[in-house]
Amino acid sequence: MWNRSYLLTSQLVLLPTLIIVVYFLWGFTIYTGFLSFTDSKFLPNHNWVGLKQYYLLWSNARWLTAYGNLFIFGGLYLLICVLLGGLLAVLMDQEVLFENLFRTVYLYPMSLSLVVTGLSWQWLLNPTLGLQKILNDFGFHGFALDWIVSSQYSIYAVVLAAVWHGSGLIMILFLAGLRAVDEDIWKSINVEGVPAWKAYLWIILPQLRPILLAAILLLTFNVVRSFDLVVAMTSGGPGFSSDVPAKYIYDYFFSRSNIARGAAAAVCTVLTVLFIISPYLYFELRKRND
Amino acid sequence: MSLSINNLNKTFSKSLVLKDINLEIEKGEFVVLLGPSGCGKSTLLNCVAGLENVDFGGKILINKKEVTHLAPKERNISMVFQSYALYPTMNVRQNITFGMKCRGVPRPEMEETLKKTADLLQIGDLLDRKPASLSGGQRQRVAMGRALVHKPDIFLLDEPMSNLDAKLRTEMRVELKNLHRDLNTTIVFVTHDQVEAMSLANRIAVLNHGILQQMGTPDEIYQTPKNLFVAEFIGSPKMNFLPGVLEVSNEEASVVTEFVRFPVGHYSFNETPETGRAVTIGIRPEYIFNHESNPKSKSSVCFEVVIRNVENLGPDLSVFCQLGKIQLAFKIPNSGNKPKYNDTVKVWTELSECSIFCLKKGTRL
Amino acid sequence: MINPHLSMNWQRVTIYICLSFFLIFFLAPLYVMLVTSFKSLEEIRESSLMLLPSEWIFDGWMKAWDHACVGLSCNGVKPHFMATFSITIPALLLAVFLGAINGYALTQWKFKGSDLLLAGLMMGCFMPFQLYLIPIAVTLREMGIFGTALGLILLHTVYGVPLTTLLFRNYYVSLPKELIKAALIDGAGFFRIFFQVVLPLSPSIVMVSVILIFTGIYNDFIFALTFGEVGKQPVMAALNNIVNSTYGVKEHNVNMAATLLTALPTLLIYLVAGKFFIRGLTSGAIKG
Ligand SMILES: Nc1ncnc2c1ncn2[C@@H]1O[C@H](COP(=O)(O)OP(=O)(O)OP(=O)(O)O)[C@@H](O)[C@H]1O
Ligand SMILES: [Mg+2]
Repeated sequence: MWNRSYLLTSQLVLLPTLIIVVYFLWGFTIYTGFLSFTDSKFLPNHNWVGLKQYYLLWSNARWLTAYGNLFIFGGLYLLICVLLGGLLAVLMDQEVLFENLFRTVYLYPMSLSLVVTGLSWQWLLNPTLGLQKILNDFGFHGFALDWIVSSQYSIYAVVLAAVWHGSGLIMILFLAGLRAVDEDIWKSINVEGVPAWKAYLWIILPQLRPILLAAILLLTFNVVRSFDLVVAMTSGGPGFSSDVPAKYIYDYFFSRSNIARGAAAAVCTVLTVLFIISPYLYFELRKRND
Repeated sequence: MSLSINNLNKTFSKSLVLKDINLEIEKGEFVVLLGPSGCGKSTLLNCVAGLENVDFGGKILINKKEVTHLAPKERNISMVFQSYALYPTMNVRQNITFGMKCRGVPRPEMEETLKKTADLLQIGDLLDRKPASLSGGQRQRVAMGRALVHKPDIFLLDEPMSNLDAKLRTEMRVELKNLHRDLNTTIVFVTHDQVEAMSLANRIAVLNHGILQQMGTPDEIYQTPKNLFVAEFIGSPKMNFLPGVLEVSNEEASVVTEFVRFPVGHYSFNETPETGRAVTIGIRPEYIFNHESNPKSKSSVCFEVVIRNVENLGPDLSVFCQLGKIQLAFKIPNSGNKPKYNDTVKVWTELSECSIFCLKKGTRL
Repeated sequence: MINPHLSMNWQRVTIYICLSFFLIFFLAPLYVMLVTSFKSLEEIRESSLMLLPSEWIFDGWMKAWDHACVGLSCNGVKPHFMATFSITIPALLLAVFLGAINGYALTQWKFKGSDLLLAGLMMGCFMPFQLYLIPIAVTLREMGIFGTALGLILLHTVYGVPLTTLLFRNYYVSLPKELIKAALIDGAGFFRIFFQVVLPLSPSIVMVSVILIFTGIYNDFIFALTFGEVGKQPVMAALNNIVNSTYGVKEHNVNMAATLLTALPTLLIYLVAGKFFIRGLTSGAIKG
């Protein structure tokens, strides 16, 4: 619409962004995809080797741990964040005093970087001087809070820190949703004498599906970008027990000089997440359009 | 300045919103575009302003010069919007002078124009206020002022009064009329309010579904509507319609309806009347009386109706009644004894000003 | 919500107990970091994690500020703060400005691929950066700005623009079209309309984007780690280096002081402008 010179200007303004998107986002994605079919080591090269890197990747024990951790970490992180965030939102919705204080505190971790989060939990979970020591001092000697140095539990320590960082966001999203619930629905619930917990579970929370979708998407992107937290907190250790794809890729790119393998891992990670998230997204969005 | 619109079509993503519009507007005329919501009035105005492109083949001429592909600022038009669209972050002064700044008007001239306009519209003491702190009427004046400073050839007003309350609207109507008289510019005014249209316009263009239905003076539109849509759209209460068939005998035509036979010998038909043609006869509520108005008139008919509802309008009564299954309305002075619900009363109708439409095509016969 | 079923006393008590429990859960790390940073190393070893310092010592903070070791250079986090801000500010201004003007341009015309471009922008915002690292390295090398502040400014701008564009677009679509029409009739062109009519209407969304992008760039780790200038990495990379360095004795007070120091800017922004901060975080959700 409008007129030509105005339109032309707006098109010219958009051109650089278009180039950026095509080059820096899609071009780079394709190039990385391409590299995964080469035998690039320290520097990218263009020797086509087919699926070789993928074979190597999937027979690599470290990758299998990292890939498994993606599911442990991602699944638990999503689940706990949503449950905890939802619970906090419902509690906050009860006309509590000092609501602002609670909200501010629950959400402040979001303003901290994942590096800061990782480092502070690393200290808290320090096996000699951290919470462990408090427990010992109180006389709980049998109980060992040594997740961070245990090759069995280190990934759960990362989940704990990630939940601490992220659940406030889910709380605030749900709370906004709850506040938007029609006043009349509450009136009719009260009139019919439905117990509050039932009302939340069966009437109110199901209305927040679109928000749940948004929350899950946001959290998923955090899962894929879990690099910072793992590096700061455990460096993937002990051993490779808390390794995640993001860190695996990074190591193969920059410290192990095996760019092609890293690229293959990156492609697999992105595809995995897309495979999991797209059916859900498709289902939800189609439902919304109906 | 004169404005002509030739063969204008406008498509929005495959739906044809304006269909082959042709309009000629003379210099100094006050033309009202009238039509129901969504009929394309704003779109037509936007096309004239250059805010929307028109489909290939359509032409817009201002002062006989083609402007179809010119930018809005090159057309020397001004526009007032329904929402006024005042720039919220600028005060009244900045709102009014913004356009002059864009066009590089020198400062002294700008100040002078601003002062003149402000005086004309009596907004001199509002100049430093922000739009948010103005009342509806004041905003409207500012919007007018912003449009006036360009000294436009053509003034385009898109429902400028629909956000005002009834009283203010009447006042602004008078003011706008005076303004038009003083400035003598061409005005195209969009509204869906027929009272506004009738009271302001030199000529009215009635639009429906993107098709120009009729263009004419308010009297023409009211007295001789070209089709059923115009007849129905204009007038309150609505024109009464009685379906029937034409009967022509001894050069004397009449419309035979279920209960009443209407002699329409005096009616000047556009087409030769033929017996048996399905028609509908339209009679304005003012031409139905509850007493014998002019016993000598040959075109007066008497019939009986049952009263269904009476609305008191102060000086007048709107009476809604039934003739068989057909709803009729008429207007009588509010004096003497009022008809009551379920009364059966005798009414007379005067047919000298009736309209006859083809039932199938809806066009005036 | 008014809910009579929950007005019974013991239920309210339960609610407050739950809320307070989580209050402690969320505050504990901050508290522990704070008290640790003010303790001496002996006290850290001897006393309990939760206790206040018997004597408040600022050595940790001093050392963290100007002589903790990042790799081989022992100048604390101070120089890294400088480096971070010299990267963050220009990238922030560029990303927000470009996002605003792009977002506006995007709302002005619907063309065949506009939804596609939008979807492309959105996808790009949310892909893991790992996907881009190698091509970025190659590109920066070729441009000769690998490992420089300029390189990081470019990266943060490029990867920030999609997000700001989306934010501004979503804000500008709700702008009344008539405003633009009026300005066009007044004779204003694209840039005049943008700068004089549209931008003045957007202080809140500018604020939201500034905070979101600032936090994003400031908290960035992966670009800082990979493409930061040796000796002048942005703070997050430096911080990780200080705390997770494997050399020497672990000085927990210094580590915690450094962590707190680097956390301070974004924390302050959150406390001062929480409303905008939250809007930035949740805006991604609202558009969906
Ligand atoms: N940008 C657009 N894209 C698609 N369709 C549009 C657009 N603008 C208007 N239309 C359609 O064109 C038709 C006419 O719209 P227009 O705004 O001209 O109506 P109007 O007569 O001014 O109505 P109102 O009295 O409500 O203002 C409507 O059906 C509308 O849905
Ligand atoms: Mg309109």
